[in-house]
Amino acid sequence: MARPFRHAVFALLSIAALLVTACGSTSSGQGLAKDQSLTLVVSVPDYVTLDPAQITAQETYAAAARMFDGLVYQDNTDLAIKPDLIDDLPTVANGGISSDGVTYTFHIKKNVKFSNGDPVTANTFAFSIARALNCKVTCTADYYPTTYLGQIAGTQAYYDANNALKSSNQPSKPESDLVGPGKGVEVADPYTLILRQTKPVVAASLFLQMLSYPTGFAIDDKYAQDDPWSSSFSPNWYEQNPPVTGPFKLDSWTHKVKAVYVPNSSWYGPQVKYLKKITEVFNDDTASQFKSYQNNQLDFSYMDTASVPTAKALPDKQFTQVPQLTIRYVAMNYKDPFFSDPKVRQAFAMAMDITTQQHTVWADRNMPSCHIVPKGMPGYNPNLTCLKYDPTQAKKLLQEAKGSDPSKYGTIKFTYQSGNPDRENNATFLVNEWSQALGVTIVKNGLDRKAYLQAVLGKTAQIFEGGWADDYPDPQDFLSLLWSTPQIATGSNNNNASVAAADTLMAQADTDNDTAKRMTEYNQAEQLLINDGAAVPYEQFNLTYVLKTWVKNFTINAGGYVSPYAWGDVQIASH
Amino acid sequence: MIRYILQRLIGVIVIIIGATFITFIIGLIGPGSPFNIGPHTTAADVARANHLYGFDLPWYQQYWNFFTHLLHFDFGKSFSDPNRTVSEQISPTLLVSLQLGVSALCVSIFVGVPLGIVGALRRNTWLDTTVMGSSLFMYSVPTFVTIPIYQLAMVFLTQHNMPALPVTGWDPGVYYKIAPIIILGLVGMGYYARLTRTVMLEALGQDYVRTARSKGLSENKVIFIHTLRNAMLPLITVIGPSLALVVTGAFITETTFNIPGIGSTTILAINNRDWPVVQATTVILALAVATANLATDLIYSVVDPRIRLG
Repeated sequence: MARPFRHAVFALLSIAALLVTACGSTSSGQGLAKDQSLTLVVSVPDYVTLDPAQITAQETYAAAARMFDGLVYQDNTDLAIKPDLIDDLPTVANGGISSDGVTYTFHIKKNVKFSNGDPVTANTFAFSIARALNCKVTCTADYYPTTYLGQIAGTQAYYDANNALKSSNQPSKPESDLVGPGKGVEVADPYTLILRQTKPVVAASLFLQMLSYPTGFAIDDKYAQDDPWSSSFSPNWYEQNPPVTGPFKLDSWTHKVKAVYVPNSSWYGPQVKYLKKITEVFNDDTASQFKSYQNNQLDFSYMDTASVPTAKALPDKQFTQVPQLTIRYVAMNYKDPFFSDPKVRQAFAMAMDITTQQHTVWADRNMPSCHIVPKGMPGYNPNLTCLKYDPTQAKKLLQEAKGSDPSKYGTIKFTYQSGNPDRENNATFLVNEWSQALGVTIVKNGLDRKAYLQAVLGKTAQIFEGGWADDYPDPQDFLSLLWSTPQIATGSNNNNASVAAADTLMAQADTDNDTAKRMTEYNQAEQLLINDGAAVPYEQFNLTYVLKTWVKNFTINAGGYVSPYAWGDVQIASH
Repeated sequence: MIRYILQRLIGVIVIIIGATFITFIIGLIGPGSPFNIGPHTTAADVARANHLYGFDLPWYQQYWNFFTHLLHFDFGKSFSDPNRTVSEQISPTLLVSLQLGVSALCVSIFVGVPLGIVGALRRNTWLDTTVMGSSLFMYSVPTFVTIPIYQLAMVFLTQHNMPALPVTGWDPGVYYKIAPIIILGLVGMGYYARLTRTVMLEALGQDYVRTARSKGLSENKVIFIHTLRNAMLPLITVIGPSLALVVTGAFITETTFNIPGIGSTTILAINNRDWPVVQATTVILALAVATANLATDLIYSVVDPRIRLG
């Protein structure tokens, strides 16, 4: 009798163990892993900076969004601008925006603290904005705070004045040059911040969009109060466990190896319930990233195009694609004698088979698209008429403009960034398309990143490949900033595109507070630019990544990062 | 001897000046801007940056400024990361490369030399053929072939739920370091095995070895005291430069394994036109090679009193 009894006890214990395990399961049906740490890859050799005031790269943007907060933020799902460290989004209706669209009043949340216990006040933001614009402290060669804060009155003058002092031993211009009653930045009371434009330079919605960029994020004025522009101030303060307001704080940063983040219990938002640690491994080689992922060293990784079929074949939907607000395009120089005729630009656009290009070169990892304003962005125009692939019509247009003897066209140089097999293949494909369809002699001019930027930003490239990722989800970022005539002088219009009718529409839209009318104006401007061959977009970028099945509730938005509010439920299931 | 050392030290200085000058000229005439030019860059931004870094000065003044700072071991600030000095950036990477290079050299010597001895003592046997054949294979297959093969093998093991080593990274602890050290060491191992075999065979045929054997000395004494000691001389000649080259020349291994050493730092700096970092690594690499050669010469004269320097 003893043996059956032992069998029965064993069976009961087994059932009990199963029940216990089941009770401990998450909604996804799996138990939580003991080690709630997430290991991600970040596709750069190292962070250049984590100072929100100096951030320009998407990778550091993601890190900043994890640690710091601003007045407003972009929502993870619809990219709408929402209040971050303020009570309500200012509107004309609630009195937060003056009727003339010049003055913006922000009421700072009263219970927000940095991770070191220091309170966040209106002074915090006044300090952070002034510091960001103090070129003597934050300027680097590629740092343009006025792009994101230039809508505030007095910022350009403050920036220029400190810029002029950059290489001198004189102290910076005082913060009071920018901050004070009636000035661009005003602290009305400890929890009320007023920002002003000199006139309605930009529409109200755009004004707020621009504030969502990290440049204006809150940093601790007390922490950095010891005269941040003195020689004793550490320029890399952000490496030393800086006080933060976001859901995570920096635990350690080993240059060129990894950065480790741990939850910030002081965060005012929904607490991070499960994760105990995020490790970001630096690796800018997507091929070796993917191998590390396959080797279980990473929970999340990108991949090179050659590995896309392997990644797609991974079980349980590990392969994921998220459309990004990023486009790649071909641009032709309006000041080049060959491309000055719109018919030539149209011919080149119509000689591009962007669907085949996407399939053969990019393994369908991105979406073929002729839109300047990408899908998902407010102001996207689903009814845009593209210059469709039509090699016969393309050749006809070229011959109308330049005659029928290709030997008189000369040799055309297509400039692109080399050093990556995908880009090489892309350039080869395009050059072949143009030479076969149009009979032109066109050669590849592959340059490394620095030389490429010099050629393109110097506005000397004849025809070139370019790309643009959103700074903030507004069509102005893709239209006025890139293709309007005034931008030829200030730097962003690199092919000297000039379409007068589009200029007028973009200038109106930039300041129009009627959102529906504003979007229509942008739509019309985009159509005019496409018709004129100002830009020939060929794809909208998909963020293509693989994620281990045990990582739950992890979502990346169209900006390419996880919103601060989306970390709460991210968890690691047992595996 | 002292005169010889002084002469060589002057030579080292000339080498370093030459190396930095060539790097400086390449930086001066090479295409592309050293600054992180972004889509919002204006001509005024570039002019300001040029002024800040002294690029608006005549080239000889720029080089003189660089050289005088170098005398104070001040390499200036990086263009890519202006918040940290070049020294702050390079020091940890140099340590990583030293760790990788010295460990790999140890693998090369402590595995390669015994294999060479075995090959020499068992000359023309299957053991000799196997050892020398595999040594030749290790020596001739480049790391950019062996590393991907290793990585694919590790991925295969992981996917079949078998224990595997990491395929990239350089975290603290031995776990991440085993594979890059062994792979880099195996290349040198092949070289050392073949060199040891050759010099051992040459030494084994010498009269003093025959004399030692005729005196009735044990084979161990003949091999390890008389033969190996004399055969070590050519090995010493190559160990110094090998150390310098393995520390400074592990570019491919560092890049493929994503190891933050001086090799990958230099490649990144070249791509970024970060000339202060390139200049600094050039000085360090030139110094390492020149010092290693000098040290080899000095040790050689100590080991073999017949050699007189100067």
